[in-house]
Amino acid sequence: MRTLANIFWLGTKELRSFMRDFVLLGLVIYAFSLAIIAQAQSRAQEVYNASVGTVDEDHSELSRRIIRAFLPPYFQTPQPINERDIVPLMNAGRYTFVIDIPPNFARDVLAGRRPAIQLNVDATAMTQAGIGSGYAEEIITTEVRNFLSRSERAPLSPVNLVVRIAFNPNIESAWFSSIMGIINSITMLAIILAGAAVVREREHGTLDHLLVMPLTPFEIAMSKIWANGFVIIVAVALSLYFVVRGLLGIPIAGSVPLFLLGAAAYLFFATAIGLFLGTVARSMPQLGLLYLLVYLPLAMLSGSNTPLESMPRWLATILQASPTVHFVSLAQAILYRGAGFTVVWRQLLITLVMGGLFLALALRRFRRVVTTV
Amino acid sequence: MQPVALPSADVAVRFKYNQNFESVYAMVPAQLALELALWPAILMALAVVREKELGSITNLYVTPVTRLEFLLGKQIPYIALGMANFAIMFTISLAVFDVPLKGSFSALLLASVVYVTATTAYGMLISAFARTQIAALFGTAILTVLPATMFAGMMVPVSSLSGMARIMGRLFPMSYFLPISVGTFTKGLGFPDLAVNIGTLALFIPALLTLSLLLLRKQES
Repeated sequence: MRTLANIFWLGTKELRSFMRDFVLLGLVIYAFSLAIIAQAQSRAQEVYNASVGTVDEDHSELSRRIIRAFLPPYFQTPQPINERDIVPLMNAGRYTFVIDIPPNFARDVLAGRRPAIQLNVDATAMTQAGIGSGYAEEIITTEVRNFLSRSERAPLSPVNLVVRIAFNPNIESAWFSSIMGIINSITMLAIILAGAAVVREREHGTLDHLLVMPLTPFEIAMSKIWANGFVIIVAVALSLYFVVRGLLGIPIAGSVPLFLLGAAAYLFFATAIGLFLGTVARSMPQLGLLYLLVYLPLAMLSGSNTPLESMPRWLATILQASPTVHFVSLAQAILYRGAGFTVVWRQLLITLVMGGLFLALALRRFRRVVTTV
Repeated sequence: MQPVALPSADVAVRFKYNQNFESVYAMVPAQLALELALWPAILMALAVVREKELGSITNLYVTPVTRLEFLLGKQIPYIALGMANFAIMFTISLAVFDVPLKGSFSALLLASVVYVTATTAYGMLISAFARTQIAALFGTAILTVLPATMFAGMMVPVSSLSGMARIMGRLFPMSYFLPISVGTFTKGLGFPDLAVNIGTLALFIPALLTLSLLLLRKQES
């Protein structure tokens, strides 16, 4: 009981020092509002607004039809360019795709000579180039087929493929990227706040003040976890209701309280990592560098940018131990597919277990560090 | 039974610069740009705020050192550190990842010096308004990691961004260095193609430095 009271009151000390730092407060608000909106608009997961240049050496009805078929939102309106400008413009990254329609293209198509259209793709723009070149090819062949079927009745394809996209009918990546943005902000903030809370006390020497009081290292560590976790959970809840649902108008399928429960479990893990790093780092710059070393792999390999199935097998196996991976799949299950507790309990459990593991590790180091300062 | 129609025209797809469409040729140069955006900015931001928080900034207040001397003196070691990072990452690209440099080395080197100066100045700007190290650390993290990974052309080409993402991308130095890094490594470019990007990158330096000077007061109230 006494321990709980100590943890509670120590935590309010953390909250007070957080609230007094207006710049930090402003940055947290930014991280869960403007930063989320900007990410929702960036559409990293789909082909959107891809830039297209066209060289029309044919000037036929067909070539104009093909060029007109590149439509927003996937492609920007194609810009006519000169053939000799293809290389410099692609070098500058001005166009991701350049379509070159050769002279007499339409005539050769009608004569059955199977002419070729050249589609230049900037293969350094990985995602967009990969998916977009498929779209572009599809658009061109469809236009050619339609053109022919009008003039000479080409046989129709014997099978029709109907694509049904489940859970996100318009394949809007804003749904996806806004939630992933929140998850990234959670990871970032939790590690930094908890880590810095330890390093700051060490740098200022106030950890000694705490130690001469009748407090155990466990109480000190737990107070930092609950206080920093509390700040972040509040920010996440506000962000989900007001930014994601309110401003961005993204429908949330499942239960927000259940997601917040998952977030709490994940925060437990992330703040434990932060505490651990805080005990390793001897100064704030060291913590900053350690933070980057931990954050970048956690965020980049969370499965939100690249699905685990597309990674090398050994990497995907290792990543099963990353709570970020489980939290991302938990968030997707609850928020997009409306999954309930029975579906996500495994992810929740793994996150908690990993969190507990790191907390134990952090506590062991914490005890050693604070008692040997 | 009717035979399936053969296509009446071919689409010859040419993956330029990267014929096998292997991500390593795009990602390794992009990583170089990413790392040089994050580390120098975070270290630089903490370097100034640290003195504020621990009180040693009094040295600036009580001695006749000007703010410009103070900031540049702080910045130069981190530029040197950034270039050491560049040398290591450049070697790793060639030796470990087998990503060859197809274009001009001197263009890449010059651009890197300008870029590291700009990214340290970016950290300097954040340090000028943050009062605590926590705020500086989180501020640099959120204000560099997000634009660097999302809006600087790593995921989506800058030419496709719209709205706020576009503005944030345009205001971040990495958007201009990424085409240089990928350009020299994978596209085989040299000075003539990259002059505009290097020039734009150079404009960040006086702009960020002036803003930092305006925000860093000689005497804290």
